[in-house]
Amino acid sequence: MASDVIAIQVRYHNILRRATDVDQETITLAAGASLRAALEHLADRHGPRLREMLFAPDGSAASHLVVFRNRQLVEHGQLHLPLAAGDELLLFPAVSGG
Amino acid sequence: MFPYHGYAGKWLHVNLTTGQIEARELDPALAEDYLGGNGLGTRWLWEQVGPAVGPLDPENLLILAAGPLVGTLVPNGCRMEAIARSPLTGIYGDANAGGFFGPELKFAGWDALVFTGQAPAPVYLALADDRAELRDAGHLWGLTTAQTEAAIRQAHGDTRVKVAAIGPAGENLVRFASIQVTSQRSLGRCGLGAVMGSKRLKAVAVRGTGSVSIAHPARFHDIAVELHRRIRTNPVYPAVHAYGTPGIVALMDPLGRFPTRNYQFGSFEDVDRINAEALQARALVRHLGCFGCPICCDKLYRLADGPYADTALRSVEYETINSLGANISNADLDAILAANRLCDDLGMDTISAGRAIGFAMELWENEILNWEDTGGLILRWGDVDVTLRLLGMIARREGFGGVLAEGVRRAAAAIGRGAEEYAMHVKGMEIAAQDGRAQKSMGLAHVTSTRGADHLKAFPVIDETGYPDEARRRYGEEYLPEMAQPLATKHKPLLVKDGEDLGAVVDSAGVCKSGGTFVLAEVYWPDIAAALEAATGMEMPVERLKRIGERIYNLQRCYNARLGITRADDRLPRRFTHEPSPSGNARGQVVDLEPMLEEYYRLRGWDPATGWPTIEKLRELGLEEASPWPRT
Repeated sequence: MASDVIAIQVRYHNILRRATDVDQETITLAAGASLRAALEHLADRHGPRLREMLFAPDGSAASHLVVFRNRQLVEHGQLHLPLAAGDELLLFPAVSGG
Repeated sequence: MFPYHGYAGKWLHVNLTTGQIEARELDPALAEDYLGGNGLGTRWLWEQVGPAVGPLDPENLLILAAGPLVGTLVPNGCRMEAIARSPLTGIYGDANAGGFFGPELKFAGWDALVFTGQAPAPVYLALADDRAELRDAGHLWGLTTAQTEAAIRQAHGDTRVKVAAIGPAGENLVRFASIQVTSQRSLGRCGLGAVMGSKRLKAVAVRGTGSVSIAHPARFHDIAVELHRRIRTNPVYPAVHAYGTPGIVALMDPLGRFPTRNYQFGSFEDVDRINAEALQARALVRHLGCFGCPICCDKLYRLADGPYADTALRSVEYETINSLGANISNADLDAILAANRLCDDLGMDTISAGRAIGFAMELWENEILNWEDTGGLILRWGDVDVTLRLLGMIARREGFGGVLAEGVRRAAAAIGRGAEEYAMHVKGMEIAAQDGRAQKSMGLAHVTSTRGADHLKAFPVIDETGYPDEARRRYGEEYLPEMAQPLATKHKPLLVKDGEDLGAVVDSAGVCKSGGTFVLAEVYWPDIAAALEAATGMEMPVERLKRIGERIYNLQRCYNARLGITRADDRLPRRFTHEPSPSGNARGQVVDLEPMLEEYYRLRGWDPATGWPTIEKLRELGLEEASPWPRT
């Protein structure tokens, strides 16, 4: 029988970690939840500082948020992406260099 | 009287063979066509160092130059250039460093220093404003770069003296020897420390008390303040300020762009032990900045305890964390810092040094090397004691270290037995901590760079993790989504070409690629043109500036073509084109290089068969005299 909730592992890096004060955590979402639902959950949990890093003022994904789902880069702005139980999300601020 | 502001209007010619030092006036036409810094050095190298002059011959030039924005109010107007024919690659070579030496050179009243010849005994150049003299450096020969800097400052009785020095590696002509600049910023790449060593020039010490004149001070002030404001409010700024380049360690790993065990993998299983958070928790003392920098990506680190206790250093960069970390399967952060400090002291490029050791470790893994080859060293992945020992052996050219001191291309040829397959280089330059399979533009950039494998010539950050807003702003909506997608090849030749031309201008003006132009993708052609025009008084419409960048890059290509470089040399190691990446977002990917290269040549106006600039392109740039084509 399918569960009506899913557990998602979230890992924060760089200044996102400073906004959450945790390296990683497990969150529980309704089955079929999207990436947007996960990010909304995190913003509600950790407050406005993190929300600013996750969302633009118009509610779209922040322009410099980088998300990996199971170590695959999520195309920018694809907040409708459905998540599955056991997924791992890696959240970074966009930085580059080398 | 030099007609443009921003320049000192003169340069110093130092003949180390005769000891003659001569101040010369800068030709205004050179400033108009090549700006300064990198462009100036490119032109002089092309004019004066022909194919018959070997990199370690006395006739090779060593050019240290600071462009017209160096020492001014613009953000991070701090960069200096070194240019010479490279001992590592045998072709055009340059290196770039931040810190304070470049501004000091300008404050002393010089746009460039040009060294030729070979001193009969070790010397250093002491330069204080317009007073220049060669001093005996016999007592400095053999010292580390930090010791050299301290000794010179003590002798001069002035801690404000800025020193560029080589260490034992440069003295021993290690082909990837660096020139260390006050003393832990590096003119790292291309082995220009060996050029300095071949000239028996141990150091250059500069103290300047002047200033840089500005053509339109009020306008320039407003431009500079606005650029500072934009950088500080750029959305990428907080992360770059907080962690510097180590901040991308954790990010590159899931991309599959974090080379591990000599590029066998693009992700490192122990990355959490060596990422920026671990580094700062373990060793951060304070944030530091280069001259005029609002970002301060530099940091001071110190190990308080452990086997390398009291190791202190600055400028621990992403590249070094990779080359002396994941690249050799080393998750011991303390050992990475110790190895970094050792390379700085010995005067070696941490990228090439780490790559040489990673190359040797993979040869050992595949039983291509054995005890007899290494003189008894066991080159197991991640062995930090062997790594530290080997770094010293390389700098001293001792035993097997002497083999690796030649760089991976020559080392592979000397070892034979199929070792070439494991030598990760382009044109003799060890590839840095990127993997073109994970970022396709970087695969192209590595082969089109004029100094051999290099991420910094094109520095294509737009598609590293995807900056769609910047891609849209710089190139237009029609280039999305591919321009911002790391695995797409479409549009990447344009990204690379534009980056190379912009980079040539940035390195010639003297500002920083990490300081707004590339890493933040904030400062672009119009901004640099406006700053140059206000600073120098030279009319600088954007199209003219673009033409200057293109001219510099084409002349570097012509320099290499004159040495026999053709399209056949624009190739990646087989690993990148034939072995699918096993890692992260790049899993299953290879670099499909040829279509990108074909399009790149077309955009550049280069002949697709030879990879040389066409006569038409050279004529358009005023470079007919540099044509590599046979005269008819």
